[in-house]
Amino acid sequence: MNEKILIVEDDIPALTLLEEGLRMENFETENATSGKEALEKIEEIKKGVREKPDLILLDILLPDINGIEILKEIRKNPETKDIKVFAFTNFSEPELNKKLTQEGVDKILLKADVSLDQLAEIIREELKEK
Amino acid sequence: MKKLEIFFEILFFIVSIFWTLSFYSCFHPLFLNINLWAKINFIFSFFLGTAILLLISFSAKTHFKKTIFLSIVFLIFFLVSFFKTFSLSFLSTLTLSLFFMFFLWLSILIYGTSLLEYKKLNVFYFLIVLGIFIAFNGIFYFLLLNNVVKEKQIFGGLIVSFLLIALGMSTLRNPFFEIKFFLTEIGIVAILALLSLLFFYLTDNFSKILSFLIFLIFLIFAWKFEKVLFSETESKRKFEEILKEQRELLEAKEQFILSIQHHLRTPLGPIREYLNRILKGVYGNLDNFVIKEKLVEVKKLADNVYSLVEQLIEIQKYKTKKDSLKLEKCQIEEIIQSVVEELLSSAQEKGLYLEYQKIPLPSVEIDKKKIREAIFNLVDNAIKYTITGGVKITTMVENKKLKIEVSDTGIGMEKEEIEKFLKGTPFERGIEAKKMYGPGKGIGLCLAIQFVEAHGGKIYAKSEGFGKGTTFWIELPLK
Repeated sequence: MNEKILIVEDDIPALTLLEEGLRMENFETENATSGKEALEKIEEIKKGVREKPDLILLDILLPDINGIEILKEIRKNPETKDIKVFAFTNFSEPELNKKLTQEGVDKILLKADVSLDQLAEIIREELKEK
Repeated sequence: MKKLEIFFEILFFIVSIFWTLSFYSCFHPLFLNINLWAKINFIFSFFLGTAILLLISFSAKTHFKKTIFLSIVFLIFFLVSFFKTFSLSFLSTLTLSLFFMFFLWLSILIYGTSLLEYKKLNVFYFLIVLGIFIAFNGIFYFLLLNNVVKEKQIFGGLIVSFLLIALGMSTLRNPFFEIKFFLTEIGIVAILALLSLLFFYLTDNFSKILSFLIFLIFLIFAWKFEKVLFSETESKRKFEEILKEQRELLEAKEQFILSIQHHLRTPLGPIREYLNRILKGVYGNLDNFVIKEKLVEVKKLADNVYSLVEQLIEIQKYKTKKDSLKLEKCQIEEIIQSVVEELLSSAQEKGLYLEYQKIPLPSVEIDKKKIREAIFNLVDNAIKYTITGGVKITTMVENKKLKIEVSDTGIGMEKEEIEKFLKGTPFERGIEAKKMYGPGKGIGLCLAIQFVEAHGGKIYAKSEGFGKGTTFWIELPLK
């Protein structure tokens, strides 16, 4: 079965591209376009209403809720804490990176640094380890 | 706010008068005998309490927890004194505490959260003052208990009240509380008190008049002196406020630029990626050669804009000190070699030579990516602004410094221009350079300067003038 990825991204063109690219690489995707929606989906996963994704691609700079808060929520619940989380962001700041690592992010990827093919490759590698 | 401050000033003034009266009362036989001081002490406490508590309540909302804590300390203190010894000092403490509680409650109702920034500082010092007050009173109660000072039992409370008023006034009147102002205020009040005491103690009339005159002269002096002191602190406070405002404005500007850059960069990501995928044929074959060629052009432009935004962000990060160096040991000659390899084709396209004589250099601990970018920008600029001849890179070690020299046979620069350049302002380009390339970016050098300076190095430049070529060199310290 194809691996499932939840993409949390508020920028619609970027989201469309990500979904398209990852689907072409044989991943199953679903999305959340705001922090609130992401938290709702996590809540549903917790309750067992929604299928658990293998990996969450998390944009940090969201308009409503900070990505770090979402990460905390994921790591807090026993049902979701083992989901792989990649921070996928435009900003690389040592302080932010430190905080993300503390909260248990699996990888921090700079949007500018990776092309879609590379992203798919990195995700595949990460999920293989699992 | 202004009106309230004036109100406090007047209140403190009234309290001061009452304080002076009660101060006499504990020394002067006349007052002591008829026991009038008890009444005065009570009234005094009333005013003192009112004034102090209003001042505290000024910021009761924002310092709610502190104020509550303080009032509890007060209550415990006067309860202890009640059980240990019943005196009129207890009465004054009681009044003080009750009024304190009352105004605390009142102020929460009235003032809300509006509080000037500098008032918070006042409150902090005020807490210190009250701490001293409690400590002193405690000591005097202890002395009373042990019959060390029996007759002058009110002395303790009053001498501390003196401290309290002086401190209270100085914290209120000098918003940016400083110890020298505080000491000055205490000194002035003490001298005035002593001078007026002299008046009561001297017996012959001539001496009385003389001491009164001295008192008056000193009073005038003190008034003038206070005015000067006050205006000085006031201007200092205003200055600090302006400075703070300016800092905030600057910060807001930086943040604004950062957010603009972020918004520029966000759509550029998908644009480039889509172009990439179109060109790769992900969405089908690109049979039309012209369309493909134009798309390659568009992709190139998008890449240019992207790298421009990236560079601007780098500069901004350095300005806001948000980026740090990732130091590692490496060989500079390898970095230069890779820059030369990358730029050789663009030099050759223009018919220029790009020379680099590789010599072994000591290894250095640097941020490889940033130093590479600095060297790249210097060489890239040299190629851009040279029409005939070429660019030569030489390296050497001089006075424990590593020197990387990039000299060209290009358009050259005037001395004033060089100075302007080396200040590291982005978008600054030479007069001749503007003629050649129109309005360009001109941020390459700015970045190079910032990167090199972050390593404790410096960039220098020299040129014989227009048309005579330019030499830029980087100096990096060898550790």
